[in-house]
Amino acid sequence: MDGTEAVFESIRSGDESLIGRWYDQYRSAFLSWSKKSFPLDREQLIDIYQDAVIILYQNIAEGKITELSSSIKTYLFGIAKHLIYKELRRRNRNPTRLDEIPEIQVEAPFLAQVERQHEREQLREALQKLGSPCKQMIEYFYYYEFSLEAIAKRMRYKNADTVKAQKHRCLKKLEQLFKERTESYG
Amino acid sequence: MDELTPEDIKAAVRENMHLKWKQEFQERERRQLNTRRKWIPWAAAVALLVSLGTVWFLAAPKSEASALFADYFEPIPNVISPETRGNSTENALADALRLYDAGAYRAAISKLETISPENYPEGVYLYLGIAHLALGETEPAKEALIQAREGGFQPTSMWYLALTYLKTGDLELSESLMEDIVADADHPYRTQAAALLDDLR
Repeated sequence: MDGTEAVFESIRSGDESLIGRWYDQYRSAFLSWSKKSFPLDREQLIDIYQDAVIILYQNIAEGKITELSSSIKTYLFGIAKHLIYKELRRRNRNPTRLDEIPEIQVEAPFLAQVERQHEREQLREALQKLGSPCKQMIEYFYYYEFSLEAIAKRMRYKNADTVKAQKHRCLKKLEQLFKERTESYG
Repeated sequence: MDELTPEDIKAAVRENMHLKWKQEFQERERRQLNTRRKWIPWAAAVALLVSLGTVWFLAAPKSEASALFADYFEPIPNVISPETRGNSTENALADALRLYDAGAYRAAISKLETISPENYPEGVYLYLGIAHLALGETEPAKEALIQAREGGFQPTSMWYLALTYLKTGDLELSESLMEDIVADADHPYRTQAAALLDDLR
């Protein structure tokens, strides 16, 4: 197993220590390069850099990137460049006359999308409130997609059946928290 | 959202993780901007002792100790180079140490767990302890580093054990170990321990 393969396996198995190392390792080089190339201030560039590191990391953790054809640094800078362009495009959208602002058609699909986004936010907050061991178990099962056996070993449960029972209880708790939040916000 | 789907839950976990790491990075940036502060007394947790000219400082907030830990913790490269032969234990060990050197600490620990500790050559407990510490797993780190102290890697394991106690907020234990390190003129981490004690005080 070579170094990159080992790193990928480590990230996919839930090792979060590497994200901090990457952050520190490439930060100076990114700032030196990006400050010269783009009209954004240091704070904005740091903000974009943070997002780029997280996006790269999550793409590996979720199996969306399974191998590298170039270096981590190249990938990272590539993601950051994409985010920088997105930000610059957003800033350049600057209508000067009111009659240039397109009338927004409030259509059902759009409303459904807004509602879904709101529900996602409530679910995210419900997940935050879960606490141990449920939050960790949900993360292992749904995000990292570990097997019940792997979760049993990692979280020191007796066996997969015990994990399955606990996971069921955790899901019920999550559903309850989510329901409370969505009902209280109408 | 009538029923929570696995995709909904995965997306929510992803967003929470993004927020968590974003906050962590923002905290790192804030620490870099601040100059190293001296510890200040906290009215709720003050216990000031003066003995023979040695001043014991107050128990620092756990978050400050964690910040110092982050500044001083650096995994050392492995110096054991087991050869890869036909023996499965030696191969597993070689794989584990390669994973350690690549920073893949979880995978390295999993690999080491496939080997019986009776077959660990000297020094393996040190790297096992450091790998656990890199993952924030202070209890297994402590166990491994205490084992490592029994063997020839005792000076280095002392330093990492001091860092482990720093991370868990056991400042008295951490300081005590660091004072022992500073007292040893030949200790490889004497300079770092002195600097860290200075930062703590």
